[in-house]
Amino acid sequence: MEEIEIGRTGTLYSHTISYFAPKGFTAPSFQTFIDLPEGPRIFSLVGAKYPVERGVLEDGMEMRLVVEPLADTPEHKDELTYKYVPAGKGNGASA
Amino acid sequence: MRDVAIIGVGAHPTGRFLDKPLKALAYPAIWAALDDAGVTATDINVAYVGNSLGGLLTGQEGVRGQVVLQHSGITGIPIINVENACASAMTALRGAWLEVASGAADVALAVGVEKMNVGDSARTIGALSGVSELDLSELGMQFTTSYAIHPKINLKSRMEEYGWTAADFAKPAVKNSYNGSLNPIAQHQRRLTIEEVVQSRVIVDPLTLLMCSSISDGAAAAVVCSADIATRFTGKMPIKIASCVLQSGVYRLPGDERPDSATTSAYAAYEKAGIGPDDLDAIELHDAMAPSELMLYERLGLCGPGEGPKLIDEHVTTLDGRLPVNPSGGLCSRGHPVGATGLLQICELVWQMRGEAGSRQIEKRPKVTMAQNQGGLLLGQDSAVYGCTILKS
Repeated sequence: MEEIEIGRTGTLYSHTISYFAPKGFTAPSFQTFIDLPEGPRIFSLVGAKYPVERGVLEDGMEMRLVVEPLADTPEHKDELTYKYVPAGKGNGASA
Repeated sequence: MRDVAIIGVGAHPTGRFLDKPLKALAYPAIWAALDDAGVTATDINVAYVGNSLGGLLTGQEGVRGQVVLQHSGITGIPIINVENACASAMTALRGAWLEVASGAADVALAVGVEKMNVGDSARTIGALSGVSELDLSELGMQFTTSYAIHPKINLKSRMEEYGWTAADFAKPAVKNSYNGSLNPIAQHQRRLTIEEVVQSRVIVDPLTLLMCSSISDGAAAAVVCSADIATRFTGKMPIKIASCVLQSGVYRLPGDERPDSATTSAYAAYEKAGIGPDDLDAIELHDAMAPSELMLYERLGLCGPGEGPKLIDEHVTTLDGRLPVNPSGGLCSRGHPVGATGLLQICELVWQMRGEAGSRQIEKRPKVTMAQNQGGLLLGQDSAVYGCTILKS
């Protein structure tokens, strides 16, 4: 095992909208897998400011890492995690 | 290794049995299996008891097998507890099979029992998250997601690549609901239509409620013995375990070219049994979500890429087809009490092979059958457990 540092970018491999939330999470929510240029494919939620609607995400699009609370719920509002957001114009993406 | 035969099976119906503890679910299945096999409790040399969620849901974290069996008369012997997610019962059967095959025991019992209804479905779903790698649910993954967009079952890419539609995803659920409607132990015995499956509530796009297996209680058991003494106990046709293969998932990065683990476990089972997929007469497989059945058709070598829906359209895998799949109704209709499912699959195959399946009996009695079972999900793009058991009469 070796620790490596990852960058802030990734590519959206696949995504869906879940209309059911486990305890401590809210629905609907985006569920995604992100391909990192460093190799792994990881699960990620999507940043909270993006409306959870069809058409917001497109598989293959560039994504950017953000850090924010895991969920806006009493259980997880103080817990920080990584999420990804579209890296397009107006999202403050830096290459 | 000695040849091993299944000489008795039994099941508790699947469904919602709020007032029944694990014991009350397990005993009817165990006694039915002993009765079917013509053995008594004292004939059993060793027992493997599969259960997945009992620790989290009942608080009985350890020795559940001993607790469950203590009033059954099956005591004093080695009792081994098996937790292997949705493949717990299959793993229990493998343990019983190995005990007899190795000569360590002459008669062994495999039990799978699960109680998922505890009056709080959020707690049950939380427990289910705990039988996949915990990092996934802690990151906010709803486990149904893995059946929709996971690299192994990326339904959207299937739609783009092969033109699959929501109606295609619904086809296994509709086919299996017909089989379930004929199965007195099935949880759901109502026949469904494509329209109502597609139009039921979306859980995780494109999976709808009626494409998903339900929270379920139930139990199943099988008695196995050395094939050469099978007729000592029962006049019924012994069913030989031709192979029983258990594999675990591997860590995969994108672009991993190794064959799928469902494929490698099935082909290992074919090889050990000396058969190929064309030799199978019936299959029970792990349709935790209906579209998984279409993916598994490919992985078990039943059809080429993208051809899954055709096997249903052309009546290949229907009850009246050349190779009926999930004659019991499968996980979506028969029910999926997770730690019992592997043995519920075996019960169905044994009943079909003996001609005891009542109104859902496959017309040409199957002689070579397979149960395919899997469970849990790992971070590394694979399920945790893959099992395949091939039976011959």
